[in-house]
Amino acid sequence: MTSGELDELLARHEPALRRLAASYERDPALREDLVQEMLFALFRALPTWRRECSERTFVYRVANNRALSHLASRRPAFDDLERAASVPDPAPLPEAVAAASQQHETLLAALRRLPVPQRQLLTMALEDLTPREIADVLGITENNVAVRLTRARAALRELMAARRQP
Amino acid sequence: MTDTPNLEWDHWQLAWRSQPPAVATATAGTAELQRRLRRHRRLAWAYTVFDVLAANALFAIAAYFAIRAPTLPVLVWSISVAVFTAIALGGAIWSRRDALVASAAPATDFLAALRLRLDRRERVPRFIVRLAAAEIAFGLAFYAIWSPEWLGRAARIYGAIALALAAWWRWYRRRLRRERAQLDALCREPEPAEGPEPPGDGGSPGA
Repeated sequence: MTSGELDELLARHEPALRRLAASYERDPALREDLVQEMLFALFRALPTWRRECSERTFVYRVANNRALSHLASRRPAFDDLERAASVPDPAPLPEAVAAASQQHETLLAALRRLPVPQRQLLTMALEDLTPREIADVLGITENNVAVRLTRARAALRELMAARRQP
Repeated sequence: MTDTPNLEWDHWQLAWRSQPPAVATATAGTAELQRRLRRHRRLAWAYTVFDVLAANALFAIAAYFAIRAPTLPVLVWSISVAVFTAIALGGAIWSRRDALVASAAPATDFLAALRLRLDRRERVPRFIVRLAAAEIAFGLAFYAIWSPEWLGRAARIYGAIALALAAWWRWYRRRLRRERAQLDALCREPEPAEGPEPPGDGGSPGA
């Protein structure tokens, strides 16, 4: 793979990796570190890619593994919805943008409260990975993906509903 | 009003993609990543070279004394230094293997590998403590047989080393216990909810 192709591949997946990192890390500085670690891990792992799985599967495997290492090496700190929602805005936003931002933060905060296996499933499903791809990333069967995803969605629904309670 | 499952999923997906987290710094291009990889490799090599040089220095000291005064006690001491150094060097290099590989394994395999790595790391302090115990036992026997006048002082020094080692072992084990608890939490699947088994039709995630 040439340097140009590598640049292109990293640029193609970077927004998704940023969203993935946000589901693992609330602190912006640590999140940025995690994104850089994911990109570096991807860069190191790419020469071993023999195209036995899709590019997306490979990228998500490496990124999720890097995120797991990140979580394993620090103290558990499951963020609560209140803390995440109370992040101060750097500047006043137009109403629509502010609402979207609020929804985004609420979803992220709820995702971060889920157990890691459920979080992984949901973030990949939200990124539109197929059940086959998710199964390949996690090393489980497609049926298992569907069963776990149903449970994960129910858990997320519950957390989101709790957030909407006055 | 409640959302239907698909509508709800669409809302979540929209919210998910609505605002990519702010970019704090420019993303590293491949040139920067290449530089970082070279630094990473150089550092790994530097550790290994340092270990080998330190071991060679100890070998040289042992050889120097063995040649300078080839009496039985000095020869025994020199051989013991060489053997213990070789064991420590082997252990140091062995414990750093796989440091350069970024895993592209499925998550379940990766978690199993993390667990295995943790098991190995738990063996490291045991190895170090046994090695130190062997060295201390050997040292004390050495002084008792050939230099009894130094035995008291040697015992005090070895005692201090043993205390420091015990403190380190205690700290390291606590840290590993925390990491194991963290890893267990990462692997823990939530309990299935009460009621009928959810459908497992392998359909689309959003369906």
